Amino acid sequence: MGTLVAWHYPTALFADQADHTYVACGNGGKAWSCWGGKTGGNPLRSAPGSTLRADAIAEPNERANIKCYLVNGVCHQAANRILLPAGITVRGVRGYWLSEALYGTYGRPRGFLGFCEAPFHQHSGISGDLPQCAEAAGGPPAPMPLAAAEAEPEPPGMASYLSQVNSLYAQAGAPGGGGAFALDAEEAGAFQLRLFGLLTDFKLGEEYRQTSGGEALMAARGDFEQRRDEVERAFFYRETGVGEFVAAYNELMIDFQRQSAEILPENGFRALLAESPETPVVLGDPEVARLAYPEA
Amino acid sequence: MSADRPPDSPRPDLGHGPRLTDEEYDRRVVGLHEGRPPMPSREEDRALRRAELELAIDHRLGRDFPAARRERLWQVLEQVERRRLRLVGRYLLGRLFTREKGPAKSANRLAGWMVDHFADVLDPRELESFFELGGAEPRLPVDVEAPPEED
Repeated sequence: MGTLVAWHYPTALFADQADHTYVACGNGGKAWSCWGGKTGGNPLRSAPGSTLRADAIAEPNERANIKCYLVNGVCHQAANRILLPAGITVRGVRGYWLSEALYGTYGRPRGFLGFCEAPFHQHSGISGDLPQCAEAAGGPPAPMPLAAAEAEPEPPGMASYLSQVNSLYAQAGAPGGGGAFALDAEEAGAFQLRLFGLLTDFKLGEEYRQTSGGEALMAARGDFEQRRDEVERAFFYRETGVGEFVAAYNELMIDFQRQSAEILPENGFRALLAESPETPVVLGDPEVARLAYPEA
Repeated sequence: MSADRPPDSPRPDLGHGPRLTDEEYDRRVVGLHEGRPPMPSREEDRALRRAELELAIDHRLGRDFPAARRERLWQVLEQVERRRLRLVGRYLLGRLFTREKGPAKSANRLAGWMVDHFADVLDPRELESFFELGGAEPRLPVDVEAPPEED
């Protein structure tokens, strides 16, 4: 039987506060990314287990069906699912007890309104090992080739865009700044607008924001952010029920997409939102939501 | 977090009786889930979450930790689960507008809310033993794309 190894390394943001985790087989012939990187770091623990079963649990995208990141779980829960055949977990990495309290050992399978359902398929009938994990070797896993889906060429400007997004988060997370995730509502809204500005620059070109259309688009996004905060706050503090929340969210999303469709040419709309202006994305049906989640 | 306590090292005595060892905790938590259906019913899911909490308390606080305080922690987690479901909206919006991986701000806010409410039930030593935050803000791993540069 092969060996499954839990690996971990500090995340770049908020280093020393939470670790990323991933799983590899003992000889490094195969690793599963668990929503993040799958090279480097340090081994945490290992145990014998079927690598073939681990691979089936991981699924081709290597996320072990933790479908919505930070909703069903994080990398810790994805890694734990893949480690099930070895009977070990990533217990002990930084941030683990927090994520475990929030999402459980193997993630939360239930979603909302049919979104983010994350069943844990254990594949208990599978045994044996992947050919690439069967060879005796040793040491840390070698760099893995990217999966086919990930190996598609990056669109031009992607690296620069991601770098700017990371810089924005890093600035917000600078010492004394409280972190991007500790911002008050007004700061958080401004932060989201800056992120959207970067996305606009990337998708529509840096010059677009200087045009009247660009200014109108940013104004629409700012308006959305302000109204979204009101809707979410009311729901968070139970001032509104689930039906009102979904209806209000739907209205906000449709309104923003309608405004964007008025501002942008169709190809610009598709480039920015990756959707068709004729079929706006909405959250769900309030009536279905009331039936499905009467206690929410 | 666990920075000050290497994995598998002893824990301080909190006066709530013996605790599950790390290895015993692993065995029990894995056994709790092994063979379960992929999507449990709502009641099964609730029972599983409660059993997980009981194991976590036995492991990090002590097996004699009072039942009334266990119940109060459970009530916090029940609220956490309801609030977690509301993250779905933020997830969808994030995908639409920013291509973010997940609703990081809201999830971290929820994590902070959970720790704050656990602190209403646990004293500081108990809270540290349960979460191992080491004085740091509660943070989830939200930036997991690549390992940091080697020194």
